[in-house]
Amino acid sequence: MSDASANPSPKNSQSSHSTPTETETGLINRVIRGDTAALAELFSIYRPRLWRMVHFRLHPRLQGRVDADDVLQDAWMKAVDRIDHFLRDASRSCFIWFRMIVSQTMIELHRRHLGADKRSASREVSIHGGWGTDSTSSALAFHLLGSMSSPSNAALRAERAKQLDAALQTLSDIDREVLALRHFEELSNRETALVLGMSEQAASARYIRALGRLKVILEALPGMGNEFQ
Amino acid sequence: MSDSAEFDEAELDGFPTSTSSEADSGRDSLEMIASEFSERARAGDVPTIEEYERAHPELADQIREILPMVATLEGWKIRKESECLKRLLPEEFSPGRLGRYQILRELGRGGMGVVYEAREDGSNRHVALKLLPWRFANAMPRWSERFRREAETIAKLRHRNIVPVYDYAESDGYMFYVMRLVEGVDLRWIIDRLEHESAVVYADEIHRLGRQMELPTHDSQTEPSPFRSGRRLSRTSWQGFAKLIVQASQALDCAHRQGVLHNDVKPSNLMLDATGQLFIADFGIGGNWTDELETNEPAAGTLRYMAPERLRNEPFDRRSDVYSLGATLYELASRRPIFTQQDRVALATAILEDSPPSVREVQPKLPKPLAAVIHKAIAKHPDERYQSAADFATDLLRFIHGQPTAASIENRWWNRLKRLMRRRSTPVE
Repeated sequence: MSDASANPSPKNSQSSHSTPTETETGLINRVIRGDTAALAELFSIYRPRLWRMVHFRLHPRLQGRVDADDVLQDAWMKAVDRIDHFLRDASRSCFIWFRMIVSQTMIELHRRHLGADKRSASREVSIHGGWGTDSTSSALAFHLLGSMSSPSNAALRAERAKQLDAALQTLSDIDREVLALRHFEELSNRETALVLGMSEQAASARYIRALGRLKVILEALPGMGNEFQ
Repeated sequence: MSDSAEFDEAELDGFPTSTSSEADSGRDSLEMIASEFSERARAGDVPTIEEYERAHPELADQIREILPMVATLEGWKIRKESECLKRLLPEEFSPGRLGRYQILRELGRGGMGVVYEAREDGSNRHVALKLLPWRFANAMPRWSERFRREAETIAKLRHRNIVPVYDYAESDGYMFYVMRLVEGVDLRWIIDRLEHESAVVYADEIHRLGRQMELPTHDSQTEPSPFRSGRRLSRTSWQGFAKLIVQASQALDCAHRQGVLHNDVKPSNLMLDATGQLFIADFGIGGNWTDELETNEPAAGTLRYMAPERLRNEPFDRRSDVYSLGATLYELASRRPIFTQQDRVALATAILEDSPPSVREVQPKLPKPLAAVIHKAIAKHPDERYQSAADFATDLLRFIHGQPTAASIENRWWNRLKRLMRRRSTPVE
């Protein structure tokens, strides 16, 4: 079954990438006045997206040792501590504010568990989990390109999946990160710009450049020339 | 920002947020196209690269370069999601209690979820509960939507041979739906039993097995069996086999008339209770995530019953379900699958290219009319099959009642034609 038919229109919490919904605005007003219960409600709206981020970015060595719910619990405590900074720090995007707190929580976690220093820990968080450095699976879901073609293509497609992983690994950290934010975490251009601390213009150019570089690398791989034409 | 803009935004509520015209300023136009393409794909649309080329001829070259990468990354994300889900599924997982259901034991996995036997509070009714086994399924809307849609679709189907859905719920971050618990065995079990053991399956044995699915406090020995004792299936129960498949094809026809394909008809998805009533389970509406997790392609267990057009990425319809049910009957009657290859690629190749071995060569005692019906159901080309599950059921009923089947009549004409052709061609040589 192709994935194309599987998805209905996005839910509000998924689609509200840039403009807050009415509910969110109402909650935001209460949070600004210091209402922790409203902060909790806001957090629960974003929780699925944050949960997803934690899972994808958790270092392979921590998978099974660290529970995403615990990470989110820690992040939540931090958010409560910072409620006074909410107006200043979250004004551009509440989701990104929570996401930043979760990201910091994860960096600390990686530092604690992997004994890495702060700098490399933050690098781990940005480039590992979800990037399948440990990926042994040869699975590939090219749903968008048509699900099931002839069986003789199965081996070819498995090979292509490995090559895509390899190609992504050869990209620069920033190129890989921008692709992860746009596709993995399904962030909008604006959110991506906020996370990377650049203008929207720069973020959009970055994204297109990263796609172009990925294409060059894939085409240079043997046997891949025609696959992505 | 100008003074007037600041004045306009000087609300006491909320944050000052930038307007969309501001947000778009300076964005790469190709990036905006790529964003729209991703968003449409995520929303279930199937955007084509060509339509973007046509809409933006000045950017056509770059669109051709960039959009395939976007599609590739979206596909790759789905794969990463499924890897992540797989990691999250523990070997043993029992949630204990979900809403008003007490989980008793795991019945099986597959077809996008884990199925448990559960007891409903209050009524104490035993039910089958199918669970998407991770919390916050909403974080991966693709999968949770499929699941929700599967429950909704099955709930709409009302037929005595389709396992009914009683309830759909979310509890503590989990999603699940609740079905009737069929007390019995599936046709996989029946086929294996006929092959390996006494070759006779008694109804009270099925009853006993079904009872075991319930709590051990039930004393199955003392309970009177609700059906005629002595009812049995043996290796040569041709009419019995046909009766089972008639029920399945009538249920399929009901689903088809409501526009629902099963997509995964196979022996293990057909449940038989002790009264001889058959239930179709596990409509493959949501897609089978366990298979996709492994390889994104159907596991051999499913592949074996899959119609050739489905392997060829061609459009498929109700006749593909007819094929799968025919393949099930072939195996039920001969105790051998049409194609026995173990390797997936070899199996798929055989389904695509080889003619099915005659079922009467495998099982010479099989009555000719039944063999003709089976072979018509599993014809390579959909046009040569029964055009609906109802037609399949009707022809099986003719066989059961000793009437000439459509398949046999066709065969007779076809054989006569072949003889005629042979006779004609001989003198020319």
